[in-house]
Amino acid sequence: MKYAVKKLVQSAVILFFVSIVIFLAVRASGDPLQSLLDPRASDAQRAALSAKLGLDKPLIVQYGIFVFDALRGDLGNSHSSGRPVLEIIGEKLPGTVVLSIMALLIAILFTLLLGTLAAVKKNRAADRIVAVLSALGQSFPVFFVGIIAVQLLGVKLRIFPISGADTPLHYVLPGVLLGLCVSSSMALVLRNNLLAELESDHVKFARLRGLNERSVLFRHALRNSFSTVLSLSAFIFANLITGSIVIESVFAWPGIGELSYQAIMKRDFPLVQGIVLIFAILIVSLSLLTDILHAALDPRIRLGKEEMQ
Amino acid sequence: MTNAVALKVKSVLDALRHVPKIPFAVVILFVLNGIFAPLITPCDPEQTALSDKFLPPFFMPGGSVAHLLGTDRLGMDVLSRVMYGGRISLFIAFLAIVAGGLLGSLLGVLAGYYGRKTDKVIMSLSDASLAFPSILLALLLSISIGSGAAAAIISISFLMWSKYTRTIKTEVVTLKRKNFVTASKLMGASDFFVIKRHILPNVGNVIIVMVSIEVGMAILSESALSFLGLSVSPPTPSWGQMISDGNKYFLKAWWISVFPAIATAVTVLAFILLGEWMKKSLGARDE
Amino acid sequence: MKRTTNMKRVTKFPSVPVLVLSVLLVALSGLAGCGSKDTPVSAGEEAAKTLRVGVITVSDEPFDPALVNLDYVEQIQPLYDSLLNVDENGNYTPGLAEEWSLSEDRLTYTLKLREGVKFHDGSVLTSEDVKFTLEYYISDTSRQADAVLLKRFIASIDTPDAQTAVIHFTAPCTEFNYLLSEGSTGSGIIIPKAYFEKVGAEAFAQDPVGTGPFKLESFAAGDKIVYAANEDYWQGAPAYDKLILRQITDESTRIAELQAGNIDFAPIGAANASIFENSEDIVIETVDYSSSLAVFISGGYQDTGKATQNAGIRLALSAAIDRDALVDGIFEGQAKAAGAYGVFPFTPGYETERSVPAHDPEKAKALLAEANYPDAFEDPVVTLYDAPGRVYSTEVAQAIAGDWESVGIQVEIVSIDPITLGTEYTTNPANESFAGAAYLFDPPRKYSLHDAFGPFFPSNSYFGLIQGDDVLDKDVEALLSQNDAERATTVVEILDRIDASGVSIPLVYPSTNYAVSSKVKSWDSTVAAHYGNWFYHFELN
Repeated sequence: MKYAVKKLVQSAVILFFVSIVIFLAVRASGDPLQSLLDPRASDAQRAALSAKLGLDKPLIVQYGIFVFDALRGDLGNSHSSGRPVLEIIGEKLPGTVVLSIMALLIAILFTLLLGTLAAVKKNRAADRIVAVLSALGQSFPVFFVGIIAVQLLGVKLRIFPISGADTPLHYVLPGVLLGLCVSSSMALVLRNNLLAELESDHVKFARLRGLNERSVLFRHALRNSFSTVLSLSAFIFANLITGSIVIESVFAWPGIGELSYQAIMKRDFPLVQGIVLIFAILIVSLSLLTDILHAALDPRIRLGKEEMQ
Repeated sequence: MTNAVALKVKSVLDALRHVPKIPFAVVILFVLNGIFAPLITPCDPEQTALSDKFLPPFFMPGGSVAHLLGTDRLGMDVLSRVMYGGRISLFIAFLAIVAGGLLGSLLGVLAGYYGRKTDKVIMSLSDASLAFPSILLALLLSISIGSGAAAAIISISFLMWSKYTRTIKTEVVTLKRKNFVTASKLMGASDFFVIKRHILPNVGNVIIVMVSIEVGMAILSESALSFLGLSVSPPTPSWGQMISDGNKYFLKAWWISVFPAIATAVTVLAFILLGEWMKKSLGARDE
Repeated sequence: MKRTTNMKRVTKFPSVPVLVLSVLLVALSGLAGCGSKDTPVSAGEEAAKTLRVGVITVSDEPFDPALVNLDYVEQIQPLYDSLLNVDENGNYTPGLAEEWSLSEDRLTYTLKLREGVKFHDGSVLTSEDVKFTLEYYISDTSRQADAVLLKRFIASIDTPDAQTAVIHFTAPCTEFNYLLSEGSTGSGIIIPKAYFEKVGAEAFAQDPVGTGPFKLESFAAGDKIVYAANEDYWQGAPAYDKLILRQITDESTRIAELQAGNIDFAPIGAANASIFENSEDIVIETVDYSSSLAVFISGGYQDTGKATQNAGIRLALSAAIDRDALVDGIFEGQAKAAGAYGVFPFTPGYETERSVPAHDPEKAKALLAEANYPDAFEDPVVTLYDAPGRVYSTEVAQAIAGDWESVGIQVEIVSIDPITLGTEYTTNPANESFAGAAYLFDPPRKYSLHDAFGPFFPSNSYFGLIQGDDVLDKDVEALLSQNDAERATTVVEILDRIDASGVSIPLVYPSTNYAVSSKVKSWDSTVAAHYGNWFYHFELN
């Protein structure tokens, strides 16, 4: 319990850090009035718009308003459309989240299959093939594989739709692609963990007790090494969401990546701040969750390393 | 003294005998290309020739040996641009890793050695940097200070430093408790001396392994950044940007995207395989 | 490391096969759940006649003509009509107004409105709406591009009867045909007073009401806009039921969707047009004069030691450029070499087309030698800013840089994002790094001379292009109160002065290619102004 509270406080500190950085960074990036007003606009128009957007107040005040409103759940209104930032993000985030979840599930599936295969057939042909596939999967730039997939499967063969997000079928190409690329980094990790498990004292003891190999694999080794995959998944999930710009541009996917790109290009302060803050909250919560889960599962962490020396 | 040096050299040569040949060759090729590209490219990579645009590679009808891999939108030679792009990738990845690695390792050493408060502060910074979405940071950076090599290097090193901090810190914590360190301190050695003499050489191995794996990641990051237009600007070639440009004309001239993509994949693959091998062999040697 | 026996009591993870199954189930249910995200459109698309257009961006902009940024006016155009229309030759034709007239003294402008025009909410268009709209456009909250002009000249608006509006000017003005037409930046669009006052500005921006051929059905920024035909449109209902504008930024994807038959109409770059040469389904049609591309030399270069401060060098920059190579090489023939920036053959008042500057590298070298380049200059490097996004900006920049370098000019290309560039060229006095720099400027087609010369006037203006030229200032100002015959002479004088200064180097008038699928029976590209007005004139098979 104490551990959880400690972690919560840490997370809050991190979020404050992030809010300051994004607040300043976005204001250093340029003048939003540029994209909103014609260059011929009069000074009166500029002043009116500046006041309406709250940009004429001193920086400290603007930051204060930003933070206090955020704490109450109000992320302000977008500069360009005037709509509430939370509403805009709420329209786009689910699409990206669903896509990321789907990619992650596919990734976990492949990781389990390939990683287990590689560990069980250690150093034999299957293991090597998995290693090569995994390395290949990590070497090709994701967006390029996306481009090829779009051209081959979408255009030439017309199997899958290639842009937009209207039907479930639209999720297939980007989802599978992302899932495969992600699984290539996880598969080897699982393999190595599994191997370590399979050669650990604990498992040796189980074998001595007469447990058959299959039970050993599934009931003990896989169970324990899976936790690493899980924590990696949290990290990867966060990356999928925050790094979605690239995939979304290839697949014309109307998600949060595309939204953030537009927001930054237009210098839409509240929208950019809102997106970064939401991303940060997402990442921090995920890591908090995995930390707490790990602590709950592994008494060593909970009690602190000092005890174990 | 010479004995120790000779032993070191021998162990390096021994190790080299077992190195995976192809990845090693590719990496060497990549580095050599990076260094000598200005001298060995068949054409000027930034020379436009509007009358020669969209020429296919030499093995396709309409291609010529003057442009082995064809030309792009403005008639620039794809082969030369791929070679020069490799130089840019090398340059940016290398600097990003050096910057990120140096900063991260330094912070990791400090965190591990001094522990407690320093550790807490540095670890919070590291967590905060992970919480900040990296691509958005790169975007913001590029529109504030302009895109270009500098912005790309800063963005990529920002991505990397915390990994070094974490790993180094763990190593240092372990090392700190070793006997020779305690002995050194008992004899009155200053912190700086202890760090320099005992800690650093021993974390060296770990850093080398991390770096070799990270180079691949750095190259891919640079590729993604330039795909979004956030790295060096045209006409300077860069692999990610060539892929992005070529994408527009993919149905008409696939070679503009495909060759830089292959170059990226092969290079990154080589680094990953090399890194994996290093991890295995250095790890084995430790025992 | 020994594990403690506590590990055995850890939560049981299901064995792999069960895990795999449950994963699949979750994935499937997730996909099924996605099905409910289907917008009503997908189901309705088969039944209704739908025109699906692939556009480069569907931006998150309000639907209020007073608030929308110039670049996105086309996105909202299907909802609205302007008072005057304009044809391909720059002649004004009736829109919402049947007749319009300017008094002899050019101080009073009278509009006679068409009768029986209904807004989407059923209310009838009257002069009250015209008065309300124009007063809204000149208010401080308006972000109308031409608000300043409107505000400067509109003294008061009378509405003697429901079909007549009379605008009294503060000074003689002949620019209102343009300002109130569909060729302007939306200042001729009329919105309903009663509805607007009832719902307020914020609600209007999301739920707009206009008189146009389409009503707004749904809007998903970054994704698509769905318009439904307005059955009661005063020109007759559109020949099809739904109009969908889908955002497909990536050109390859747009082409792919065209080939897959998922969209019917889309702009395509010149280089890719040849992909459809042998296509049976898709035809490429070209619309000329879609924009005007030029190189501008930013002001503030006096006493900076920069090469561009010398007029001879600026003229050399123009002479060195091979415009025909640009047209053939970069635009694949789909452009016209330009003799002037910003004015088009159909711009009212522009009578004689200027001749295109000749490609004369020898002359360029002579001019450089005369100016003692590079030795006489502290900073002989010419910086060329390229803001990617617009019409082949990057390729043009590289081609031009190549031309310059071949006559011995040192060039540096700097990539910059469009907004930063916009901030730079509207900063006056110019920042040191930007002073004297070259940059590409490519606004869409214009129907107003005064608007075209905006960057040069007043000559100490926001663009900072020309450093103080009283004659130019007087002339450009005069355009606002002259009729077309008078303008024809003034324009020549203006263009002569601009050409002599060398700060504006006209390049080409790019054309735009549109890929049209066989589903489209006919469309009319000669309908002028912005492409947002075209959609009414499509007919589908």
